[in-house]
Amino acid sequence: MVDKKFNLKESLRKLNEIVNWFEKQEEVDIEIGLEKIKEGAKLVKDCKTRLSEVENEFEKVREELKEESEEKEENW
Amino acid sequence: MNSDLLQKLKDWRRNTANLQGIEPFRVFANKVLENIAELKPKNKEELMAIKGIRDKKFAKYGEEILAIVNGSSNSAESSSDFLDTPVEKPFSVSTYIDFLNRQLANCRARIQGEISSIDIKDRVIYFSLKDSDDASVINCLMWKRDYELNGIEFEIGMEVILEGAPDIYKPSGRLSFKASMAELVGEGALKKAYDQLKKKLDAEGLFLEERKREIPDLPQKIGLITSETGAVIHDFLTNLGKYGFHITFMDSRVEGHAAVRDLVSAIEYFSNQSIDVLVIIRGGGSLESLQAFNNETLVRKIADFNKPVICGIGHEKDVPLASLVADRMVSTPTAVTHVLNKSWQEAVQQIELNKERLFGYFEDAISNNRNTLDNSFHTIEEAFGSIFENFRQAKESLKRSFISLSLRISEIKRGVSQYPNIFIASMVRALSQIKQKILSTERLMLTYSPEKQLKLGYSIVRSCGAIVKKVSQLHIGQSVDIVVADGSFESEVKNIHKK
Repeated sequence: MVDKKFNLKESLRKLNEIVNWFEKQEEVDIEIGLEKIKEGAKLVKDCKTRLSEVENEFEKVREELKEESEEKEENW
Repeated sequence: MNSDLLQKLKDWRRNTANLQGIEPFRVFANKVLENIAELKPKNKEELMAIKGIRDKKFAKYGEEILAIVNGSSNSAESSSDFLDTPVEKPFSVSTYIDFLNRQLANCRARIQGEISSIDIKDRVIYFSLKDSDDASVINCLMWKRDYELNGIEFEIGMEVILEGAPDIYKPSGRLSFKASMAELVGEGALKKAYDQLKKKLDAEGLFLEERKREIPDLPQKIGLITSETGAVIHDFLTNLGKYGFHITFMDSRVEGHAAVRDLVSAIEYFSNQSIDVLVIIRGGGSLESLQAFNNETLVRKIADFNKPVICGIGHEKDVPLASLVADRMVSTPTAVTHVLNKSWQEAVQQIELNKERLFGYFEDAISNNRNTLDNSFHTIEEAFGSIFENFRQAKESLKRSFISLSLRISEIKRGVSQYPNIFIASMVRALSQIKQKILSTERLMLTYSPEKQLKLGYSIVRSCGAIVKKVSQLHIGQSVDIVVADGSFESEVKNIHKK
């Protein structure tokens, strides 16, 4: 289970940043690269987990509104 | 058959007929009531399935019938009780009008006619509706608020369908049909209204591309407005990807003009809800059935909505104005799901892609490092190797020098060993040469021997031991020895003759 605070959009952005970092390096510093790749791998895993666990939620609100609007009509 | 229920239905029919001043069978035939009592319909579909009940009848009496069948018909029962109970005290006018108005509220209907007079006041529009055939007239009124929401500008002679219920105005005792809604009749009128409004809104710039907002990436909270019944919502939910969408759904009618009120209030509801995007969907239909989506109030609500709006309304030739004004317009509810799914699908792909790229880069980096390492090692190896190579080469050249030296030595040796022969040969040659010379000299000597000359007659003159070759060596009176072949003799010089 991924952290509740997990933000997919933010994670995708971070992942992109890491990829861009690698892209920009002419010569990758392996030590830093290893840190980055660890972080990247975690992000990929988290993103996938998040995506695999999502289900759509459906909430119906008609009734609530009906009552509200009926009240309004009464007041006319 | 539930005879109790049948009796209730008959009582209700009598009251209704009385109130409307028509024969009971005009309300419903006995057979129909019997069927209702037997089948006990619980909802509109079940009730409509009974023969003799069509749209018109349902609009007029449907709710009441269902209320009676479901046993919660307070108004119908109480009213019948009201009349059936022997009345001891007369009604006051006011109470009676209240009673009538309660009854009249149940006479909700849709009526069609031609507008024959209009009087627009501050809060209300008074008008009358005339029957096209027999010139019957009914007084009507419509609240200004409803009139504006409705979006149709009344004109005398305009054919309309009104929806509402009659009501008696107490101060005047006048009965008016209180219309909550009016709609135009016929494709032609609708088309005309559509074109006019389209032109007007277009002139205001409501359809301009630059007004349209971007649908946010990875939308999560979705406000959904459509009808609860029908295939559309099902299609929508089925095609919507599982990306953790949070859908807040407002049921709304979507058919005909009557849907405007629902749609507008649904949009109003969502205006203060936390959503990323608002979705309005409906299956395809004719201009008439899509009237609500060409309503000015609705269109403006969409235009002013504080979040991006996606409209997926199926349509024929004329694109609904609601779609034109929406931030994103697609022609089917399913297409809306594609719009919503898109950035999520891309995100999924992006993750895969980034994963590959990320690991690719790192692998490259690792292999680059490894190559560098290998290269360095190779360089070192070569450097070491070259040291040994120099040794080897030195050794080789040394070996070569030894060989050439030994060759030279053996050459010299060979040369040395040949010298004696050369000496001997030269000696032999020299000796034979000397021998030859001696022989030839001997021969010459023999040739030039003075004895030989003497024999030939020549003689040699000597004076004082020297051979006289010139006269200058002589003087007169000098004694000279003359040698001839067989001896010598002395002589004296008498004369000298110089040549």
